[in-house]
Amino acid sequence: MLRDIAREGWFLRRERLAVATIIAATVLATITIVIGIADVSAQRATIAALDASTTADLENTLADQYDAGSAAYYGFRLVVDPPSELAFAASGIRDELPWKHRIRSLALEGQIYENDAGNPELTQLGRIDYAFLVSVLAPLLVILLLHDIVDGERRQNRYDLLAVTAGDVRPVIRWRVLLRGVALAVALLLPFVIAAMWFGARFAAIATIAGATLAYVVAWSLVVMWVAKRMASATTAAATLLGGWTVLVLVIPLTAGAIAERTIDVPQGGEILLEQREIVNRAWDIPEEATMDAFHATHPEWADYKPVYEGFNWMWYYAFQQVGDQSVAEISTALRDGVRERDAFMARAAWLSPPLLVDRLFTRLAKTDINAFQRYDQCVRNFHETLRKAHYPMLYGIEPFDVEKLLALDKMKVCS
Amino acid sequence: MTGAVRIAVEEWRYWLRSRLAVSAMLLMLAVVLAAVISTASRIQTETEARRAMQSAAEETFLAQPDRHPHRMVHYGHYVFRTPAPLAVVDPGVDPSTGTVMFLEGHRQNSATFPAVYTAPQVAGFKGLTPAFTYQVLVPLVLIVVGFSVVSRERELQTDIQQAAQGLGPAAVWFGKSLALLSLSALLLAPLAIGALARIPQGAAVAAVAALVGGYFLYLAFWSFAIVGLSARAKSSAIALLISCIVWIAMAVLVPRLVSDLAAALAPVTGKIESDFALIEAMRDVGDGHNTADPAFDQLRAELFNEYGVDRAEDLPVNLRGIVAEVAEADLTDVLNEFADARMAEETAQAKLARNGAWLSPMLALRNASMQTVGSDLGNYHRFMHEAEDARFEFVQGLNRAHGSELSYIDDINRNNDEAAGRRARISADNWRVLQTFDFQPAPAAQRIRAAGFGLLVLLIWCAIAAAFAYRGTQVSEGRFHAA
Amino acid sequence: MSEPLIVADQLTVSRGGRPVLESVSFTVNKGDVFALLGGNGAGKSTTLLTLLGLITPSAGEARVNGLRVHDNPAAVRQAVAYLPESANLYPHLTARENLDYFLALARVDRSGDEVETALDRVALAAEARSRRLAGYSKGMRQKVAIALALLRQTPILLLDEPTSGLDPVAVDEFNALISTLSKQGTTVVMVTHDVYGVCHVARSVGLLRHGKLVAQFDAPDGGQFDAETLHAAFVSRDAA
Repeated sequence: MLRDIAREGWFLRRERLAVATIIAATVLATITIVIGIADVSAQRATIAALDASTTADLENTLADQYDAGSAAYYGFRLVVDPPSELAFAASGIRDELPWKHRIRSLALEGQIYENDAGNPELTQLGRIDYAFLVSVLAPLLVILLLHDIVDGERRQNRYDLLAVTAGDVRPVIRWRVLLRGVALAVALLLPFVIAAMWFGARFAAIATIAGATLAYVVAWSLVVMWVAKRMASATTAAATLLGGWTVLVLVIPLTAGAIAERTIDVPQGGEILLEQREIVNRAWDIPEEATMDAFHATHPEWADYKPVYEGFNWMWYYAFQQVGDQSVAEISTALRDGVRERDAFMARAAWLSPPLLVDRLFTRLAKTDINAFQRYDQCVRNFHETLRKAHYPMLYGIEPFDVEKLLALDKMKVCS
Repeated sequence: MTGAVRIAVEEWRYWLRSRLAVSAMLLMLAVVLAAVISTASRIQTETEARRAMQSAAEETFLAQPDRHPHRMVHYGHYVFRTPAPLAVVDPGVDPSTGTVMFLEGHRQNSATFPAVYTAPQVAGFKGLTPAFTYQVLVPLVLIVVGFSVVSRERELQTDIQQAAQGLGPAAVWFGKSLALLSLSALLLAPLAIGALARIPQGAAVAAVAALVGGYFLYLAFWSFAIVGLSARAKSSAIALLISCIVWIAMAVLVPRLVSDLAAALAPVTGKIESDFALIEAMRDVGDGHNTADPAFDQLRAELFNEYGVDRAEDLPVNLRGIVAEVAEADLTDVLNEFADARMAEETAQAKLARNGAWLSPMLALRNASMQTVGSDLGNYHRFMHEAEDARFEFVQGLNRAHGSELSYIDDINRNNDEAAGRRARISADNWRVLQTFDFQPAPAAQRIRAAGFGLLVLLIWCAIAAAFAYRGTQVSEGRFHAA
Repeated sequence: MSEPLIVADQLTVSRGGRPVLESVSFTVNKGDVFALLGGNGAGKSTTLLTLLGLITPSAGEARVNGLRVHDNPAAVRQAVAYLPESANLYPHLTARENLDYFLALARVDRSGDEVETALDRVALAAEARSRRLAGYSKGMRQKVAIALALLRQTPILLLDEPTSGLDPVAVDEFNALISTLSKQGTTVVMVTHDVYGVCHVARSVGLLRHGKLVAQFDAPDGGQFDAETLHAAFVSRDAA
């Protein structure tokens, strides 16, 4: 066996196309990892800068306020979802959906949909990350490496000579396939594993991604060999495999996406905004009690209190903000449920498309998928609740306005 | 000439007898049709939904009862971005950009709810739009069908027979290219029909022509490149291999690398980040709610001087309204300065990325396509500007009504009691300052001019590929002359 | 007396329902040189590939070195060196590298000297030995393939059109080489349509036509075939 490895290893090193493919895989893997690391570092730097600015801004702003109402009105805080230790490998939906918010105690539905996203012309082009390299490009590299392994020997009239010389040609072919597959897998994995360990990713996650990459390369290798065996020539096999690749990588995921969008309705975001504005503004035209009653219905702990105020009734003001949120809670939840449902549909569709499956696995582990976004979204909602509830005792006048106490709350909430 | 046509016809006969070529063509035709139909129907639904919400928003605004004008400034208004008519071919940045923007006094909000917000997560590639299919997938089919156009004849040595019949390399070059060009034209039919169908919806004929022409140029590039590679490669197998590598590089890798590179080389400051600088800058702008703000001392003095009075109560206009109007104008200048800076950063970044057209004809076409359709960054910025104009216009309209329709005395006493509150209202007729908002991309001539760069680069790519193919067929012929 | 080294017993091969070989039988004794003569499509190469276990006969059987080929293909092939028609070794490797690789495949160890000696015997120019085969002429490539067959040092050689592509001088050298090997006890089966070539080396000749062995000739003891007789048999229409 060692002799076989030595022999075929020597042989592989002299195959120019194979070596070029494996070098290309190494270069691509390194590029994707470097880009991923640069991206994650930029995100971390942005978060650090925002943390500092937010703290300075909040301290400045609160120092100028004389009542809890104004403090709540002007006191913006930051909520962020820092990139996970594997985000460098799978950027997922992070360049299109928000992962940072400036939040204050006003109605959240007017704030949470703000999206500080990048340049849409670049986002639309897509990124090249490790997940893309593995799920989309690796199959092409496997096809390139393996489609001609047997037919090439036949075309050159060498197959029979190989068979007679080696006694049995199948182990020779098997060793060649195996060595090329292993070389490709190592080329893809090495930069990833090094970067993942440097970022301190969990061993289990690294092992899962590495294992999935390996299994994926093996599966594609088997498919390529299976198809190549059944086709008249290597070129027919390659063309057929390209067709299969197109169906698995593009047609199935994109069709599934289109079906999910068509069959699973989500409310129009604009409806949330229009409705919420109506409720918030109507508060000015209806008696204060009506608003407070609606507020107390969901916050019974305050039902026995009456706001104590001079000048402006801030508690009423924040109550109608909250009532505005409550009024669209149903449609806003329906929106998130719809997105979850669409994602569940895609999860089922992924069983038809291994590339989609791999991408879902990677983005899940890297916490850059829809689930991670929804967890972040919920975390923003929870933080907003904590924030406004911290102000209520001061707004009701049962606690004195205390800047220190407000500053003690998270200035930057980290949701991860 | 007739020889070339004959070669093209023979090539078609070969394709139609090859199961691989026929199934590739049929598969692609199905994908292209699916992309054209599903995108058209999605854009149509989106357009209708956004139009409906736009008119609902306008009706609600106009239906508001008599009120204090500043309440309406904060009640605000929503504008919706409708996709360009030709977005059915290339939605461009539409899915990644906000569709609705809240307009109110003193603030510029960003557009929210891009389609991606609720889109399912698909791996790798974004969406099955006609633009994507033609830019990425159709070239692959041209390769699978055409990789052996010249190399096959050489392997079977039928090229010698052709030459013996007096068909020179020029005829081979033209004939083989013609075969692939006619296939391109056939595959292009669904896109052309989809685009033509939008003319009644307001798509300009010139834009449709430029769009279809651009896509044809792009497919012509691939047709020539495939002929050239097939002629130059040692064997059909190598021709297929190299064509596929070129395809991966041009259609898949380079665009993404360009995107990442542009993002790294010309970073755009995030909105939250630049908002902190905006907060700083805004400290110097007076608070328009407060006439006593020292920032308005001069304005007040000038007004008193003009009307020869010495207190606000005696002015024939409402000082609070005047202050609100001036403050809004000052503040808007600052807001616009930041918004323009941000858009300039984005434009610079996009421009940098657009130079990727020199690296990949796919990027050349992509730019030209989005620009011709009006679904590029520039037209998104155009929406932002129009939305800002609409915001400024209705806010200032209300502020002017505030200054002229509401007396200063009633205004400052508005919180005294309910009756005083009622006196501090103006007629709902004033809400008519709101203009109907209907976003349209830049005029066709302007869009086509913007697309000129991309189309020009594409033409250069096409010419290079044609020359490469021409050289290739000569080299290929040279091989048996030498043998 | 022990069984002949090579036995073709009623070999029948069909492809796509059409017979390519029909009940072909012959035997070759140790040290003999047997030539299968026939035109295009007569079934010569098919016979060789069947002896190698690369084609399965639909009836009959082949025995090589005392083993039934289809039960023990690997063991049979260990005893056989095969020279395919227009053998293309790896064009991206040099002559020495090709030999090293194929010898490793065959699991035989040959020293560098032995390799050089083999290349001397096939008269491959020394300066060409460390160049890639991509730049070789057809004859040079054939010489490397023959060197490989020599280096395997197997008791049996199966040769498919071994002299095609060789120039007349090289053909003479090759024939001498085969004679020497035969004298040393190597058994050789070669297929060819070169009537005049076989006269010099073959001890017996089988004539294949349309998949049937239509005639078999043995050389006179200690002498050579008469080329004219063979040629007449080859081109005659009534032999079928």
